[in-house]
Amino acid sequence: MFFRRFKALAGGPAVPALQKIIGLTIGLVMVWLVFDGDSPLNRGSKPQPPKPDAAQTAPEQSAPGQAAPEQPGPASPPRRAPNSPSPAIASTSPAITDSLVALGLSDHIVGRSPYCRSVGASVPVVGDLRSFDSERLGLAAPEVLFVQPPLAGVDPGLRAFCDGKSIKIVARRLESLADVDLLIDDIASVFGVEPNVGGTELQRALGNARASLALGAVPAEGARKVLLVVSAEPMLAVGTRTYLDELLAGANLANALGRDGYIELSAEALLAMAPETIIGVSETPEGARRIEEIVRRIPWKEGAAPKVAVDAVPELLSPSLAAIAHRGDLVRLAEAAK
Amino acid sequence: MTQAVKHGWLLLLGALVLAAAIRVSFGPVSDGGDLRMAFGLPSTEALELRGNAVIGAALLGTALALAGLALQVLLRNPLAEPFVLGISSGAGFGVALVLASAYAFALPAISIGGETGGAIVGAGATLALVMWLGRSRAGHDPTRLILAGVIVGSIFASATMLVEQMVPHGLRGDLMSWMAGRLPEIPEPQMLLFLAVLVVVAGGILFLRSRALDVACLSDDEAITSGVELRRLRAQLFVLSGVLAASAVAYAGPIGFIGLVAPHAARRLVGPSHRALVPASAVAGAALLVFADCVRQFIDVGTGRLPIGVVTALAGGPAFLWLLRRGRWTA
Repeated sequence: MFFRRFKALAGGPAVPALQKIIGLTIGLVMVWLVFDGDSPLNRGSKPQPPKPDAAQTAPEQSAPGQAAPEQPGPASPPRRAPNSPSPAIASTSPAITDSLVALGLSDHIVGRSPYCRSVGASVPVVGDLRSFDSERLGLAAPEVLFVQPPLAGVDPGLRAFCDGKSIKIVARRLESLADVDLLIDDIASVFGVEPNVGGTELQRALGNARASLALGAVPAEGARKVLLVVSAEPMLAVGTRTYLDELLAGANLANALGRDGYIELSAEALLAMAPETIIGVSETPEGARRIEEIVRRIPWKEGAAPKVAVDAVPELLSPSLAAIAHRGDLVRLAEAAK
Repeated sequence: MTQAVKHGWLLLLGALVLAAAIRVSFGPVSDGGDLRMAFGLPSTEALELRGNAVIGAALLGTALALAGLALQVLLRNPLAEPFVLGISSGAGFGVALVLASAYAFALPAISIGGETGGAIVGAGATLALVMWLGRSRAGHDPTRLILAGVIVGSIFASATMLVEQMVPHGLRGDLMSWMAGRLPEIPEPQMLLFLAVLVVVAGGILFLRSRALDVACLSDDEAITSGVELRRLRAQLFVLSGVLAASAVAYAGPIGFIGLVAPHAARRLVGPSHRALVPASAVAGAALLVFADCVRQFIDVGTGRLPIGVVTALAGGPAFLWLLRRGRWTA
């Protein structure tokens, strides 16, 4: 009735009933997909618990039977769990969160970013790499906030907010393994310990993590040359001066791409490079399969087709202690390439 | 055929041949561990890749140009094109929804219509919505149509971003790069064949209906007096433009402004008669997109090549503004 009166006022043509029903149905489905936490779309976007081999030192995420409650909406922001051990930590960087989890510190995490896969959905989202939610951050009440600031530095608004709430900000940009090494120092400082192979459990974890970094490693003469690809469309390859290049070197694999940064390679460029081995790492199995499919479809010169191996190893895709724990996957893939 | 029209045809065909020749002879060569771009005779394998790239770009450019031309006649609006009318965004949303649903339900995308199916549904729905919104009592108002297209396009673009937020990083990256417009370097042969057949059929229909298209650019009364069944013609143009734009988007993501610039360039070179304009637009679209693909081979910002959609938008956006500013247009 209202709609018809509105149409009459607007002077436009009447909308047939079928169109209304279709429109209403599409609207309801969209609302369900977007707002229902159990809708297939939202199920897919929820952080997943880490795989058993996500990190050498990763502990259980939650006690058995402890269901992760739905993340409350804005009307009822989540409160920090009263039994969180001190120091309570929030992290808006997936790589730092992964590193904390890898060190067995997941119980300390009271806030996360929506992209932190390694902690449960019950941990409230307090921000991401570029923004923060002051209300949720205030209610999560962390003592320490880990951030990966942009080049311009920490958001002054966030700094002022944290000063007002006595939250200590630890800002660390993670681009290389040396940065991860500094992160180990940051974490040790927050917990007031020294990384030490023979100390407490945390000290041992920090010490082991530092030892496993293999900083400054150089592949041996004659080491196997591999081209590491991390995306299919566009075909993104890992160049020098990246943490993945350092991981390759630590695994005694030589990088076939002698160019800095992450480089989009065309099929022609791959053909011109003619690498002997290509290993593909992706976030999802579908992405890994796509890398392999594209590489196989390139018309390689007779006898010049590279050996290829791909896998979904999302932990490798951000510079963290979890990535270092998965360095062995690079070796595994290089050996599996055929 | 007048001398000017002959020159126009020569220019169009020459541009296409030149762009194709540059694209085929320019490419990456290995330089130790690094790569550099150079002119030269390509190897057989590289020629296959570059040839596919030229064919793909030419077919795509033709599809976009024909879609733009059909829309300009359908809406009697010289600024109409799939990108401006939001059709590309609608098709993009359809593709994003298919990919996200396939991910959420752990199904192969093809089982729920595939990217092409999603793009066609999204494009058709958007075109219908924009036409409905852009209609006033006096018929389709050009300004209203463009405004409706821009707004509907923005809504679908935002909805696509919403879908992006709900999928994992890997898939999000794929969607984002797809939204920037990318030319598949190793296209699926079936998709190329489909695009080729579509372009030939759509181009053939438009060519055969060229007289009706000429008349359709006049007023409704004049068109009906001339014996043209306007409703039927508009239905054909609606379907043709929707399918052409949707297939182009499914193939390469939203690529803007080719559908706008190509018919206008062709119109300047061969005149307004659709008998010449339909094939000329097709050639102009092909030449423009192959040329855009050449341009991006020359630009290396340190991380590889620019997405093709960025190149066409950077060149086509100012062309759109120029046409808008000039204000003397004919559909």
